[in-house]
Amino acid sequence: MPIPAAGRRCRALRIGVGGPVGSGKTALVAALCRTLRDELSLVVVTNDIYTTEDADFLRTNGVLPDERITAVRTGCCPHTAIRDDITANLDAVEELIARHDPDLVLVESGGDNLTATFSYGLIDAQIFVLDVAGGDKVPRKGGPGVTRSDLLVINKVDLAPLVGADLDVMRRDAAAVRGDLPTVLISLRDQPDAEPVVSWLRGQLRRATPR
Amino acid sequence: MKARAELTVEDGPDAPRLRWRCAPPVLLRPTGPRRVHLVQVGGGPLGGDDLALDVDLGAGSHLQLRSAAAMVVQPGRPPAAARWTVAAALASGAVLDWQPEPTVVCDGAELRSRMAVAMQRGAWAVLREMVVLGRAGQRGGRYHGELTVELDGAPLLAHTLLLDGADPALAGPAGTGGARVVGMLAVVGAGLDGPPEGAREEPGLRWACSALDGPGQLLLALGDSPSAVSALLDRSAQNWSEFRSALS
Amino acid sequence: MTVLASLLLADSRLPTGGHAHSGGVEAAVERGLLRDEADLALFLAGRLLGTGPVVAAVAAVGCLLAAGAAPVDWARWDTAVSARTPSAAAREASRAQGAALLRTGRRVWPSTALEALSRTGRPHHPLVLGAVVAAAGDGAGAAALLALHHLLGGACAAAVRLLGLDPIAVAAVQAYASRSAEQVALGAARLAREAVAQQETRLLPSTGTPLPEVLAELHARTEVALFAS
Repeated sequence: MPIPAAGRRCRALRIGVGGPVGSGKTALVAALCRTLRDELSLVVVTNDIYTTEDADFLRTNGVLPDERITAVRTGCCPHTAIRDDITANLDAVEELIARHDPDLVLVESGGDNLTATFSYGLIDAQIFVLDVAGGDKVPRKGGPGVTRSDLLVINKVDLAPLVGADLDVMRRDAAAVRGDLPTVLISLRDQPDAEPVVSWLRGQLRRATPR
Repeated sequence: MKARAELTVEDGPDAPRLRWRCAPPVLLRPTGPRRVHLVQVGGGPLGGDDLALDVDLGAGSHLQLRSAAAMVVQPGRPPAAARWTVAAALASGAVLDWQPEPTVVCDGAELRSRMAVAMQRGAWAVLREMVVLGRAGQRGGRYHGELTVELDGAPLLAHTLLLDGADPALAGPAGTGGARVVGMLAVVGAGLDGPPEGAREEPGLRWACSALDGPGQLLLALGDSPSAVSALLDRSAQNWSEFRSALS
Repeated sequence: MTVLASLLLADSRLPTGGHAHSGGVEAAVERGLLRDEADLALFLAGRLLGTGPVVAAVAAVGCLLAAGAAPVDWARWDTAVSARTPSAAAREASRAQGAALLRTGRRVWPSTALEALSRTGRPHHPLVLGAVVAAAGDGAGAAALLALHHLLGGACAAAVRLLGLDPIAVAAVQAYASRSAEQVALGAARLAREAVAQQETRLLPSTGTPLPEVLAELHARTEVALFAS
């Protein structure tokens, strides 16, 4: 049977940013916006569980103008909104695209568990954000976010000595379950430009249909 | 009992020209140059009554329509609904300010009320309805109140308010939530495409004023006491009256 | 095949954005107006009396219009739905869900009627539902039933998530409400056929209950909310 195409009419690259609560998704999105906003046209969709807090954070920190950020409510089910029923997010993404014709769309998921991943009907590539404070066993435990995300970001490496996390173990376990998929270890506090993630993102932008 | 009264207003050079035809028990009494009071003799309608009023406002004419007392709907024998129908036609520039006293639906009674307003663009209408479920100590009867407003023939508001103090579903969390008094104030007319609107909760009173999909707003209020809802509707009607004065 | 297509439309797994809407349940729960299964049963009964006949009739109309041979003035019927939805917040919820369903419907059951409907902007959810039912090959009666099924199902799913109610007890509550929904759907479909035959939107039901309208507006102004409506 003919499989209906997603009907993409635009060239914007769509990147999902997922991961557990408190791992630094919003901080990463803010860092990407600050680093890239002068060279790229950016828009952001947030999926807060309770409130529009993440969207408000991005607004009040002047990361992007208000009209480039949309908050989607998820009805208690953040993973549903990015995986099983992506329609509310698609509406938000397409409305932003229609209004701003951006180069890059960042879709930030609500904080969820390790099984939550994005549907590729919504995004082109996804970043999964963990933090070392969640325990150095998390990469070994896997879950689709850890094993199959296009980029695994292990954040807050500056905290490793404080929480007794072994970064080498995390790096090795991640490589074991991820095969060729890239992993970066960073501290957004020490590297506010999120350079390793930005450089991966530039690669994604180059691979996407050239403008 | 079946009766239909009529009222016509035309804008005159000095004062508006009022013409009316009463149909007992529906009586009309002019109480000012632009004001008419509705008097229902012999108390409120009983089950089985079918009463109606037709109002016709000519271009540029203004009318305040009030009622002398609350409409108290009593059950009839054999049980049947009482009917009360108001049909109003507003030509361009006409202003209808319809703020009758409350309707009280007693235990065992049923009122089927219908208010149909056909407006031409440029007309303005304030339409008020306040329903009290039962007299003190009663839970109240059944109310089926249809309000339609058409603007140049297109529907702007079509809402049939269902209330029944004796029906747990209609008195429940998707009905009135136990409130005994329901108030509505619809305001329709040019210049009403945007705010003011709002919504609030306070002890014994919940209300929201929402923009319609066109030039109009609807205030809906739920309360425990007639006085609180009535005061809210008074205040809102007063605000609208000032808003309209500021427009013209 | 038609039966299975309709079952797919009844399935909450069909991605149509419904999971983000509580059908007014969240606002009622927040205020302690809906606390347990018994309250939920009353809530559903109230919704079936109030908005039930309207959404069912409009869905049936959408189906009849989409399946008919004549060109359709969708905007006129959409205006009639707006007039029957005095709360702006409720209209926005209806339009958002309509847009989501229309997106999915157009890709799953492509049809000229859905393309024509999508040109009217963001039509109301029950109108879209009816047109999608027609595109999937089913009739007005099924459309009316599906509208009520979603009215009940959305509220029940939200009540389980928000209150931690026993999902089996909630299923029983929905099954019980579904019996009266069948009657509501029959009446609504009858009115819809009459309205379409006469091309008269005035024949559509316009029933409503006051609390959901007020709560919809209050909810839309709430800072902390899990559901969009």
